[in-house]
Amino acid sequence: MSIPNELANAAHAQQLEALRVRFILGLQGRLTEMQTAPDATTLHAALHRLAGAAGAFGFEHLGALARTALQACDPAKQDGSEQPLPSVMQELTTAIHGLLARQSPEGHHPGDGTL
Amino acid sequence: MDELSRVMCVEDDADIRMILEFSLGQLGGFTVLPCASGLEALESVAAFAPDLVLLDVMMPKLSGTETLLRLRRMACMQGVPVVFVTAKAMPDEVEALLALGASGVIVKPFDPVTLPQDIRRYWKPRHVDPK
Repeated sequence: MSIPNELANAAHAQQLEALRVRFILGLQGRLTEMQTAPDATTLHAALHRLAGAAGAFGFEHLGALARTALQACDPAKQDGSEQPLPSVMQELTTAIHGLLARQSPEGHHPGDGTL
Repeated sequence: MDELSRVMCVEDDADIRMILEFSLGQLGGFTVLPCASGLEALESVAAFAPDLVLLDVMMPKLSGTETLLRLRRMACMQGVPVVFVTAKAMPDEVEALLALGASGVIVKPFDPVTLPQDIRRYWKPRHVDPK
């Protein structure tokens, strides 16, 4: 997500970018939380929080992956056509690693979570 | 007060609380009180006296819906709009939230740039029952 044109105030733009960087750096913790979730309820809650936060920070692809994973781990919402949970979690993991890699000192722009 | 100036945000995710504070505080110019849980909101609301409350639905321990029901029992919340912020966007889900007494529902993901303007549509000057 590029800085919206509405943010004419450069200081606000910098603040928002700082928040986005902080969100990216927190993704490893979110990923660990999902990977070590003791039960489906805990995983569901973690995915729900990620889906909401990713979208608010402009990472639409990441948010979409989280919502796909939510649907994959909710039996009540499945119609048989969903991507299996392990597969979508792998995509989510790859997307998160990609964002973290881009945010590293050797990286560039955060992007939108796509590779 | 006859203007929307104080907003309480109840959200268990730290990153979302940050972006809400930035959106409503920095961009919107509101005085914002972020609360990490429904219990924290119930403990803080009387002292903060919000003009509007933004409330997440899915929260651990005390859900957003239960928080709303408890807020509505408090005298200080009379006439104060409570707007849910949720990923649940199906019409029947939205209807159910409104039926609980919410003034509106904002669907996640929200746009932090437009959110300050979006919440204004749910606010009106408070009419307090003299009883």
